[in-house]
Amino acid sequence: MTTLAPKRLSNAPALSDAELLVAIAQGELGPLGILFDRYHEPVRQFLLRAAPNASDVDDLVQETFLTATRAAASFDGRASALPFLMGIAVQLLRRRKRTFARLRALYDTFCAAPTASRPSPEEHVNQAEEEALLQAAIARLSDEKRIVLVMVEYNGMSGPEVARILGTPVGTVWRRLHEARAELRRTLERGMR
Amino acid sequence: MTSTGCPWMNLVEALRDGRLGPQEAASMERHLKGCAVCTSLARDLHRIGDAVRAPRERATPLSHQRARVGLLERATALPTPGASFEKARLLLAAATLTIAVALGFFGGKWSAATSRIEVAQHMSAPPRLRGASEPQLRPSDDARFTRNRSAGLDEVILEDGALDVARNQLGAGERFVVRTKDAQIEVRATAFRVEAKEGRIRSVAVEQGTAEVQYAGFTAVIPAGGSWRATDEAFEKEKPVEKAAPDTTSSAVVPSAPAKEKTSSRAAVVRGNGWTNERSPEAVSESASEESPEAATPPSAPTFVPPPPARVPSAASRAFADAMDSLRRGDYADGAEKFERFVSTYPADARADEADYLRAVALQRAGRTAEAVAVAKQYLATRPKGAHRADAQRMAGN
Repeated sequence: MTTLAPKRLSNAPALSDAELLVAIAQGELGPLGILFDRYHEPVRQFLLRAAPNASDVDDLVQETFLTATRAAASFDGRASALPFLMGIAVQLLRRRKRTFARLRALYDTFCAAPTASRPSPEEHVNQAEEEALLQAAIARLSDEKRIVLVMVEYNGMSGPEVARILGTPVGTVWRRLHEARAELRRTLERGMR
Repeated sequence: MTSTGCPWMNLVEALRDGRLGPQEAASMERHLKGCAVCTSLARDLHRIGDAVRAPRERATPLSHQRARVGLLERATALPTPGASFEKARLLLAAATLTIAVALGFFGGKWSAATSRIEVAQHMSAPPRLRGASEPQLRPSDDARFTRNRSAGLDEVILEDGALDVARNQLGAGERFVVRTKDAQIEVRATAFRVEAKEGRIRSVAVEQGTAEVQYAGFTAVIPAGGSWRATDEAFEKEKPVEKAAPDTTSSAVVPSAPAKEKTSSRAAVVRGNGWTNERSPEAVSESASEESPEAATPPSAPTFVPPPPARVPSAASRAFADAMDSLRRGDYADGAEKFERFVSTYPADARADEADYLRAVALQRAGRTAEAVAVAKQYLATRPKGAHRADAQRMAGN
């Protein structure tokens, strides 16, 4: 059964994220495993939404945690390491975008098709179509807009939190979010006609 | 669905994102009940949110395990975690250490021939660099020390002279400790210097990382750029009068500890950023004149030039680090108190949530289970969005 809850791999409750990252910064691998158990799925789910090309999401997740081992010393001791990891993931996404700019055309081809949440037979046809339209439209958004949208709508982050992770002014975050929603609303409007 | 019609439309998005104050939000919610345009917009925004949150395929336990193993294998292959980020600082520290050693070498009254003979006679474990992670010891020429390694504990017992230590990292479960007759230094520093005389600690100076000095019943954590020095009246008094002239000099120049220092004949002087020592707060002012005891030390004792302090952490950061240090030392009761103090002093700090939870952890580790449960329950009650609610619930027995 794939619905089984992930097995708890270590006695994690006693270690906070800050403690884990301090230990990781000192080169210990055990805490890295605990951190991975704790945040693997949230980081993966974030990347599945933020990166439309889902084929290499698992590689990105692994790269995120690997980079975290090198950046652990810069963790500021906040309660949760998730924003820290998401910030790393966004940096990797940006870097990947630069690296693979020449493959943009192919990338867009992938983006044009919905990559997840295919409508099931049980779902209502209109609702499924609308869902598929929205997913495709989300995939077509620019990376910057989509990342902001995912951070706010999926991760429930506030504007200032997103701004801190992305290193942009809060006003820029709100503007990107507004533009992303406006584009998606236009898609919805076209779909309803 | 339409883009025209209501002047309040711009506020619909602001309401959804929590950018409105309570009164504006209440007013907007009332407006939404009667405005079709705004309601339509709100519904669209809700659909968009639903689309973003639509479930994606979750990793199976097997793929999770594979990814975990892959990650740990790749992490093992990394050269030195943190090296790229600390590279510049390490280079700076290495350069400073080299200068300090060179100053000591040329500044001291050093006699190469005799000292080398002494080294040959007394050094029981010549330092060798066997691996990248092994501490590199660089003793002064008059240094006498022994080194014992067993079961992950690397222990250096320093009798006399100075020892410069530089290391990259310790593996999991490994410890590196420098001991004298009267002190123990738990080393987390990556570059530091320790001096002893006749088996007793004289000073510790940290260039990189931190060091924890346990001495005369208290513990001092010395940050990078800081130094610690023991001024020892008893030591000077007990010493056989072998050098009459320096004796008078030292007693005249070294400020004696005030009467309140009766509990210990030794006092500590600390310099550097971020260090706190409850026992000798006035000692900083003494630091300028404390160099004179060096005149009574063997001529080969080099003079250490502490590096300029790096980043100065805030009071909140120091308090948090202090509490964390207590946890690492295993002084859980002290850690719990410090975390409690941190939360009450800096309730708006980003680490307050962390501190609140760690307080419960500290109490649990201290064996004060009932208090730990109470604190965990308090955490759950006061932090509805706390990052450690799941763990706190487990701790509270929910």
